[in-house]
Amino acid sequence: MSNHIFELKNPVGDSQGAIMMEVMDGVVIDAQKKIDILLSSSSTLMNKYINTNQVTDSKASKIIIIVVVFIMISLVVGGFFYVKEITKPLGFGHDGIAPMSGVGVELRGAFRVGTATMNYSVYTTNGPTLKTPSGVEPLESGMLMFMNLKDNNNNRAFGSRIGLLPFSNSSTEIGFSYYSAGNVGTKGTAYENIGAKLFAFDFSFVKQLPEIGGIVDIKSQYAKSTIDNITYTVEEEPGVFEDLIFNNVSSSYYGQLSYRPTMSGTDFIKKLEFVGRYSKLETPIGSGFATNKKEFSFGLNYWLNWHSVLKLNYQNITGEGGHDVVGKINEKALFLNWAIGF
Amino acid sequence: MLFLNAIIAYVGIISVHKLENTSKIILKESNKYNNLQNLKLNFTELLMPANDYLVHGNKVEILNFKKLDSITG
Repeated sequence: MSNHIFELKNPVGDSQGAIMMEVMDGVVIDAQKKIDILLSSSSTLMNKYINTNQVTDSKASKIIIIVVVFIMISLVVGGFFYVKEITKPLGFGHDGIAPMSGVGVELRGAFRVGTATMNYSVYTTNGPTLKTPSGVEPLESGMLMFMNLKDNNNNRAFGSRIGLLPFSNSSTEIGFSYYSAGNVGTKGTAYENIGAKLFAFDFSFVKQLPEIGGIVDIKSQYAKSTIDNITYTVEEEPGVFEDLIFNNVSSSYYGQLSYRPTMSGTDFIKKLEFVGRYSKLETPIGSGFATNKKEFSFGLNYWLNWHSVLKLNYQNITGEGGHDVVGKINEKALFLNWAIGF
Repeated sequence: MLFLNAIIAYVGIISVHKLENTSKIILKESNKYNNLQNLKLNFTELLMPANDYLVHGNKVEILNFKKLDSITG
């Protein structure tokens, strides 16, 4: 119809052209109405799927959060399940000299050497953070803090462990581990180039011995930590500063023995487990966290079933120094714990 | 623990798969919506050369119409 209009010789004010234009307007309005219906349908469909996406996203997030919370609770509760004693040996855990965990990557494996088995692990983590006078615990300046999820520099710590199980029944394991962090101080501070080196020997023996009618479990470890020396100027009281100069070397060791009379004829006795542990920790003399203490711990466990255990522990720590302690210490404690394994 | 990790993995994979499928549909519908909007606009524009030709009689409107007609066609 537009072509007909263009064929008009005098188009301006032509009445036939105006009529054709009106007809065309009507056709276009009809077509646009049909397009509007399709647009409305398309828009409704898009909104429906956008809502579906939001619901899926929300549901998945809720499920994942619930399961993650459950895993975290399991790790906390289950962590107690995998250790014989309720408390950790001296030198491990809070204010410890060796790492218990780290954020990073690890490669581990095992291979046979004749009748023996060897295992290995190599890993790299964010590494420890050095406590300094400007930190939250200035009196512990020079101590390494391992339980840090946030890194304080760009340096990575590297660690490795090699273990040898000399017997074919894998009852005995001897291990050596080494851990090194080139920089443990916070980037941009006077301590940024301080490095740390740690090594440890560990021993494990787990075997059912018919001679004594049960399972014997022996665990022990010796760990040593060497951190580069530097002077820490600490404000002991407001306006009173002291230079802490010390040889930053710490060591700890522990030995643990447990016995479970699994071959007893009495069901109650079969479920019992007796545990004893001795551990010792020595930190640098002259430092704010100087300590020389030892721990004796005795425990009685009762296995309700294979994945649930009740624990009763008595612990006695003697020596001097330690976390916020000056002078002699003689701490006695009794712990009761119910652990569930997953 | 493995079971719990498997739940997270399963929920994650299923959700991502579902989100991917619905996102594809949304993208397809969005393209369709866009094309319909363009078509609606083209219809209106297609009327303009003939209307303007009736107003001032300029022959350039014939070229304008042919150009728009080729796009709409």
